[in-house]
Amino acid sequence: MKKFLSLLLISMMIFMVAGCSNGGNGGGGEEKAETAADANGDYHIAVSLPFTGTNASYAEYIQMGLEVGLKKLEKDGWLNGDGTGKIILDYFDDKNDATEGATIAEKIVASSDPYYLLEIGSFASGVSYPCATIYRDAEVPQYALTCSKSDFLPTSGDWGFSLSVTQDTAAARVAAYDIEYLGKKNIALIYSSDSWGLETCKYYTETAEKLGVTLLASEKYEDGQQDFTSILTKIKETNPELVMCFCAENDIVLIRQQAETVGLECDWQVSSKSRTSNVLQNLGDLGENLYGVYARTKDLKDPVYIEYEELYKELYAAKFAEDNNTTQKYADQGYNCMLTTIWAIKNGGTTRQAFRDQLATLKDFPGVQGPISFGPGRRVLQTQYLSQIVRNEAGELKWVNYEDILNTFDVDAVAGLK
Amino acid sequence: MLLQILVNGLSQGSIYALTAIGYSLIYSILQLINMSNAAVFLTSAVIFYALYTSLTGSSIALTFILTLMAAGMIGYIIEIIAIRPIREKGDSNTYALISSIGVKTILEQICQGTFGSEIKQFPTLLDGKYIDLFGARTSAIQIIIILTTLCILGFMSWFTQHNRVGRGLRALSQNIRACHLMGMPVNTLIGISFAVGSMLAAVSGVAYCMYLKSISISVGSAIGNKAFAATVLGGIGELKGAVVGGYILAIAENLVSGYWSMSASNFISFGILILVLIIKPTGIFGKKEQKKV
Amino acid sequence: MKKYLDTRTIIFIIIMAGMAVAPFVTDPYQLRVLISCELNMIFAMSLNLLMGIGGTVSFGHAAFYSIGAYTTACLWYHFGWDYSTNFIFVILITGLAGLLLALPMSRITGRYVTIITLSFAEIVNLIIRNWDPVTLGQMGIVGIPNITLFGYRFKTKIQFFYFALIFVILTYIFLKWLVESKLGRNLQAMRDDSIAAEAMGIKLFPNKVIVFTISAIIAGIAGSLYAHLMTYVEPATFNANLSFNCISIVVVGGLGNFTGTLIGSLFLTILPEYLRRFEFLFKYRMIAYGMVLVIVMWLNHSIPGLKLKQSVQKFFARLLHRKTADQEV
Repeated sequence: MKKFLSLLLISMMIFMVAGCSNGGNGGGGEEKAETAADANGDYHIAVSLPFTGTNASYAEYIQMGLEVGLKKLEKDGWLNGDGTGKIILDYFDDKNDATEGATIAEKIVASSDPYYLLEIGSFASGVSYPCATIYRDAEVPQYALTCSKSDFLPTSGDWGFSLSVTQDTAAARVAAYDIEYLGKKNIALIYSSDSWGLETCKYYTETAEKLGVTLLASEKYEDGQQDFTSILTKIKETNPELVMCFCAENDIVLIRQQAETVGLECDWQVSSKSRTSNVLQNLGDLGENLYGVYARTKDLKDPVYIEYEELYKELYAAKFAEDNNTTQKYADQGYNCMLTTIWAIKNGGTTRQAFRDQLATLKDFPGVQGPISFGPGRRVLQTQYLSQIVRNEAGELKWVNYEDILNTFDVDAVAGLK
Repeated sequence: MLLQILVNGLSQGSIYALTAIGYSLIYSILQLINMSNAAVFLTSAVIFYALYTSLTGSSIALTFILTLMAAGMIGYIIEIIAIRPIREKGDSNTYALISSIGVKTILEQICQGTFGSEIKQFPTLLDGKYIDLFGARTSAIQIIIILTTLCILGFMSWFTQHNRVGRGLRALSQNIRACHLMGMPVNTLIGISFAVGSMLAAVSGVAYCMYLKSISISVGSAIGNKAFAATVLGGIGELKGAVVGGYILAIAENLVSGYWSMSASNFISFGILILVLIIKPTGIFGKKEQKKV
Repeated sequence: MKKYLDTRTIIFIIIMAGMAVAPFVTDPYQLRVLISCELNMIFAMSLNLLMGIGGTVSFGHAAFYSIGAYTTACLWYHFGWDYSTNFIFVILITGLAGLLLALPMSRITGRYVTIITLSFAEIVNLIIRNWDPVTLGQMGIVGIPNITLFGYRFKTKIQFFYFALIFVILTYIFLKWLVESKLGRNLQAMRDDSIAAEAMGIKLFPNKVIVFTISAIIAGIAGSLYAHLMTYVEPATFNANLSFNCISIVVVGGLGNFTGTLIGSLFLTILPEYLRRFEFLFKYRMIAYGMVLVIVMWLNHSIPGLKLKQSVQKFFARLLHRKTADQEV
């Protein structure tokens, strides 16, 4: 009896292992010589994002951006203009876990039916970075649109792409703005304990040292932690003028609220990761005068943006209204990612090698937030402005970018980046 | 700063204490560690949030009462489905323990699936009001939490001394077989003990979210572990031990994270736990368990 | 006469044979799933030794797994040593950890042991998370290469697969032997009734220490292989869920039943991967692990559950025209 049951179980196993594959067998995913398109002339792209776990809200927005991009392509008659040449997205949930991401990466690169032209994702640098070696060895382009780890692009061989300014640049700029432009010398730092937080803290501290400022306090908090009162109490004792927070959008809301409870009064600054409309909404009045850092403000009269916003409203009217009638930053990124991908495919990127060669030449591409260019080593060239939540004439709180600052203040030079 | 740390420690300790009582209560009766208590903490906070946002304009008091009832029911159901069958067969407690781990995972995953991972605003009482005493800011909600916990403790004390049901629970903790022989409805009482433990966890969960003015799914696990440590520290099976353990642990944590660092304070909780288990496994108030042959 | 070819051994041979030929018919992704399965087998067997034979429920077994993984990762990172050297250190350090965990247990019984294992796991995780100079803390160690054995670096995952398979086979044989040995019988006596065992002259404490150490070492070996499989280790992977998933595997297979552990590992590693395609319809993969625990416990240790199990068994037996135990004359 036991024998029978066990044999039954084992044959089920074999069936399932076979079912795990995508039809390919033994070394699938070989380079197709002519084109990555399938029998119908359609291209398959794999998307690996953390749909569950702490970064799920970001993943949702990126997905929205990608879908809007697809919608635009559909309106334009797909890739060939006549309704053929579709792009099909296959979504995978990596749960914000590097192990899951790696397993999914293996699955993607081994898959020959569907054969993936490239992979988009993941969101967190801590997930994209370890997978880079897998994609590199399998020679599959990895478009980790939000990966800001400085080692990512070199480690990925030639196969990794990102739309984010790297952490060393971003953190150094923030430090330059805080210390030299805003003139704050008494600064405390709160940062998350994931690899992004650790790195940005390191670069910020380094730049601060270069500019002659020693941080009053540098407090790390754990992932999922919600009680910041002890950290804030400690910081309150050091009497800072400014507290710099390298944290996710959820965390800054908690930090700000608990700072009120603890009685900590000073200026607050976040990085571009938390300079979002969600933060603006959730903080309410507490958010007034919060500093942030951001790339160019969306030009609402830019035809690229107008088209994007229309399609966005068409597909996601409810979310649009919920977010105060504006598109969300990470959806914008997703849209840019999709647009640049489409551009690369249309301009000869029909195989994996050709795709990566083509995408690497991106210059002055009209994205939603302004032109996008890849510099040497495919590093993203993007200016970042000091930003702040300010009450406008109507009494509403809004994020405002101080774009004029750069006319007189060369942040890159001050930060030692030039 | 010291005073602020003590204030924070007291309010945090109250939260640990409430959940810790739940662990102790069930252990005192069944010698079972009910791992699902931590999950009930999270689940009740989620239920409170769901009720509050869907019945807009409703009072906090009403939502609170409904949440308590829901939590009590959940506790009772857990006992009936996952614990009672195993208990009735009489096999070792290990299996019930494993079953409770299963329940914990299921509850947590359901919450995660239905609630999502964004942080949401949680309603609170007397928002923004506080007292500044000698440089320590105590917010109104902290005071409410501490007072509520003390009231509940008083109630539990009365309950186990003077109320029939409570005394039934106390009797169970002394000798279950005798209770069977005396004709007490043992199964119902055990179910009630689970319900009581869950309701306490519910108060704890809602209080914690009110304190933070927000709710997210990571709320449950950290507090669950710490509350468990507090239970052991105070002596698992002793109700007053659970409370004392909760306060000691919270104050120690806040002291360490204030004068040293946040990571160090995490070490402290588990370090204290191990030390206590090595030196006096039965905890501060615990009595030595007699092993009967 | 002892039957050497009983049902369990046959099943073991079938499984091993199946896995031996697997690399010839699978693609790299499926192979990777099977390698994960192998590591889970080793890990779960070590926990089964501790729980099933030793009778100690451990919530913190992931600690030893993580120590094994980090030992080989750190040694590679700081010194560039190959696996043959690291292996020795893995055994030493995880063994030491097992020893450290067991030492304070002399006066502690049952329930409290479980609590200590939980705290131990948390502390180990905290140490790894914060000991930046050695473990690189939260950043994790990236780029760990495939296994290098005495100067020869494995070039393909297939070689890794067979290497791990050897460990699975060795672990199984070793543990089966251990159960039948004097130590194994002592442990089972302690598990069933520690007071009676002590009365019979079995010293509880040294036996406990030994079983913890052995269990830790095997788990550490599994962990070290894991580091080379994933090429990346970070503290977040080695969390309480890892321990609980392992408990699920052990429970499904049957406490004390090593063949069952192999089947359980296959089941709980492959099934979630198979269900991945349904993930967006059915986001609740982890719920399955939880339900497995509750259901298996109910089936085996509750009266209605056992009745159900027996009636199902009778049904199948009738189907196969086999006689069940109580029908035999």
